[in-house]
Amino acid sequence: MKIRPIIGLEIHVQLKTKSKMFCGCSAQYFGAEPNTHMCPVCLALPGALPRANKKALENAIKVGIALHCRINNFSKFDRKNYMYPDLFKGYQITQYEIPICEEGYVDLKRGDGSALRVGIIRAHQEEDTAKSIHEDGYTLVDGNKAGVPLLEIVSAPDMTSVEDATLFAEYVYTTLRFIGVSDCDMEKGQMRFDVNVNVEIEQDEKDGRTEKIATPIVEIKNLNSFRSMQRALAYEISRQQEEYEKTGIAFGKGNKTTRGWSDDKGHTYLLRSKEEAEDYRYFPDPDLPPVVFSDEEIEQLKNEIGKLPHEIQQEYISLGLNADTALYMTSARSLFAYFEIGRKIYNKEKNLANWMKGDLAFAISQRGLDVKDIQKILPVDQLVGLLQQIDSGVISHTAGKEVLADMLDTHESAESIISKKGLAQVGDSDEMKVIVEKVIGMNESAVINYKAGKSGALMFLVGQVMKEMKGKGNPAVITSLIESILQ
Amino acid sequence: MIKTLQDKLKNKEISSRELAEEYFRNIEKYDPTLQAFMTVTPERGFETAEEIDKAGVYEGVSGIPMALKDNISVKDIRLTASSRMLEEYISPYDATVVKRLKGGLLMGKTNLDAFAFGASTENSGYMVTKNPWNTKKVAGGSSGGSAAAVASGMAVFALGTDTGGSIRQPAGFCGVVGLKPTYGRSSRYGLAAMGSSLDCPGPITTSVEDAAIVLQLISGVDPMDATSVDIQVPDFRVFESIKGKKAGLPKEFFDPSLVEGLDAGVKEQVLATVKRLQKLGVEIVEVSMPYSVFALPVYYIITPSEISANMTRYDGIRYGHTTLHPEDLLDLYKTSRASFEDEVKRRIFVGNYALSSGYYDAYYNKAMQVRTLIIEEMHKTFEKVDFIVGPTSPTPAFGIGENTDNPVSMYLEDIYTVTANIAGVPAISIPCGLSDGLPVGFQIIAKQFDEKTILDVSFALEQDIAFAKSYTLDLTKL
Repeated sequence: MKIRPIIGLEIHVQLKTKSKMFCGCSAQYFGAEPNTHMCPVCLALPGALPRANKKALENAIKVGIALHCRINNFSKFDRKNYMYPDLFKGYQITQYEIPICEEGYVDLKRGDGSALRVGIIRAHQEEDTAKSIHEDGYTLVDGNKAGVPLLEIVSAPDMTSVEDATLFAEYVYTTLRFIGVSDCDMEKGQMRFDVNVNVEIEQDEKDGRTEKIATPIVEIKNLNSFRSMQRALAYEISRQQEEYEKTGIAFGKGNKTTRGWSDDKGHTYLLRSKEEAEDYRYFPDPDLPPVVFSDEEIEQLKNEIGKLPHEIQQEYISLGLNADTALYMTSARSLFAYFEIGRKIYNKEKNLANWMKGDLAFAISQRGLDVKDIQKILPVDQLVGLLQQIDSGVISHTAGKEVLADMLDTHESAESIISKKGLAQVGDSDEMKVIVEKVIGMNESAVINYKAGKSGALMFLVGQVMKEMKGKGNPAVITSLIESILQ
Repeated sequence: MIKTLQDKLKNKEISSRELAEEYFRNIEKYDPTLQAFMTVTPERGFETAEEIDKAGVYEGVSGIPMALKDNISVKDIRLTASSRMLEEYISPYDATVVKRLKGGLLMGKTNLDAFAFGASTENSGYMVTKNPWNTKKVAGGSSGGSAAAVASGMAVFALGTDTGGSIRQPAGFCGVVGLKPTYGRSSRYGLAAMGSSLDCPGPITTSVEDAAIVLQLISGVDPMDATSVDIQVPDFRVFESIKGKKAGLPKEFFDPSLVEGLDAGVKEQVLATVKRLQKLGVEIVEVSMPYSVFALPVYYIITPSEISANMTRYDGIRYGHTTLHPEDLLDLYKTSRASFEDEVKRRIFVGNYALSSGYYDAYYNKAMQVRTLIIEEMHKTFEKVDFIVGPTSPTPAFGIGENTDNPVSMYLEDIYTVTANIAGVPAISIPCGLSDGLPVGFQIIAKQFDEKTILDVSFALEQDIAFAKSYTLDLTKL
């Protein structure tokens, strides 16, 4: 028996804008007193009318461009009707018939090197609902979130494993953050997933034929982290197999069900079957004129985006960065900008990148700072100054780490810290020669091993010299000195 | 009338306060019988009057007593939409048209069919407004309160809203002027929505000039209403000669096989008015608008569809009729929405049905297609003529209770008026005579954003008919 999951994702992303989608209220509601970001429009008072936020639509187009979508010059808003206390108007304004972005794709590479292309069916602009808080048998509603711009990205069912789904979701996450249209902060609900999943089961029949069936499609709603998406998918894939073995019910028209996910219990649960599915009675929203963007406007937005993360990663890999480091450089716009300036004034890109991802990233997180402020924390020319001190042999790599930490704390230059702390290494001097000769004299067996061609022996001797010199020696200089003496 | 009163105010012959007092006195005298006002607002009216008297600046409608249909939001004043649903709702904001009528003295908010669904105010959740010409007759609707208030001198002018004829028909019934502007000419922001793609606020006045003055103020694009149009607003208050213009008379309007029940008296008055146009140098052209007869069925699909969505916000959670101790959510919805009047419920049902999956194409989508045909037909007609004329309604004001048992016969009231709404073009009703002692409305329709032509024609006819001089309304019996 062979099984193959079929997975499609719907990703909801809150777009970063100053104001809400259809009114002037601030969209930066996180942590605000409940029901303070409200006006007649988002509270749906009699007579209030929506007006579309152009910035949000521009962000939606940017997403579409980044996901290789066709951008529709003409799209429109529709009303999706359903009644629930957190939907104040009683309908959600969305794009049903003609979305702003359609028919895109992303190209991904799996861990095993195989290629995966995930199609994008559409990305449409809509608005978020209010927040329901269930407490002591009451339901409280906070309208601050009502009307925050929301983009729904719908993928084709092109993923066949949890790994695929993760790759795709991470790609979208990285890209959207990078092009600056959303922070995608999942703890703040800025990015949520709905997944559609079923399983194709291939069974060998007795007569040697193989039979292929698919289980009914299940939509799992409202997964608010990568981890819950992965867990819910893994759970659901095995649940559907078991369910099929038990009931023999295969995919059929109208037997799609909707399930929820309990993070605590680690299982999915039935929300509703298709017969209970709502009729949303979509129709064009008469309050909003069509959304029209000219080719020139779309081109302008394309220029604003510039290079996309995956393009930048390719470029960096060709510079000699490894894939992880290249990925890190595009994980935040600030890192990309920092690295780009850095490589203009310093040509050892790989070294710069390794320091950024390694020691600098560590030092930043240790101090509870955010890499988005990296340029403020340590201006890139300062970092380059430090690297140049190491490259020219003034200090060792080890001493460099210490200097870096001091630079972050004191905001002084590498040079001044080195001279204050007396960290400059001793060069090819008589002092060094004396120590080298002393070490050679004390380590007869290592010398014998060296002469026998054992490579570890030289390293050992260098290490001993470094120790004697309290880290101030330049390993390259010491190595050549030892070699010339033992010749 | 506005101009005359403002001249008196400027010359200190009268103060705004005195003017307000006079009109509030009229309300005290007539409104117990007419029941035009949902809410009377002396506090607000006098407050504004004092400000105006102090400032001594008279422009727009400042210092002039006005009434607003009670589906138009005024900050800190109750907005009922004449529905029990909103019995205690106080609006926290001003509609854009209210802001634009700054300086007007608010007499009060006028009665309507609940949420403007109806043509007689008999669907009001509170009371039926009586026709000042005959209190056994309806004032028309849905802006019946506004029309009765203006006709009886309880306000100099009023605002109504017109979705299918709700300004023109009551204006016709009460013998006053009612103008529905082009859709997009004046902002809908702050008007409790009915049919969002058709709703228009507009003036109800005693003269064409007053209608022009009010239209001037409420016209213009509004950033709060995305469907308002940024187009130049001409000076409506200057009237030009209509000599040499062409008027279209649609033959369908008078075809008994298409329009049932056109009252003989109405027909006579309307045709007499057409003759007056000829006398004024207008060429009358018979036109055919075969699609226009479908405007009514189209209207009764599109409007309830939009209504069904527009009414969902009334759920008893944030405002409106509610219960504090519901058993569950469904119970809360049931209790809250039980306060809707029958016609409100009827239209929600019809709309939900028309939009539901499986019926959408047959109803809503088909109606939208026919709407496009009607608009095209309208455009073509206006290539041949400058304006279209006809009756406002098939009959003069009907008796209270006469049509309430049969919603469809009530819907037929809109047969002449809905076409302008479906096509989004401007139209007016001016009084042109009496039939059986009741006023008859004469309707003039022009192309999009051509309110100017409508007002020019109306003004010329108004001079010729001299309705107000010929027929005086006797209010002493009230």
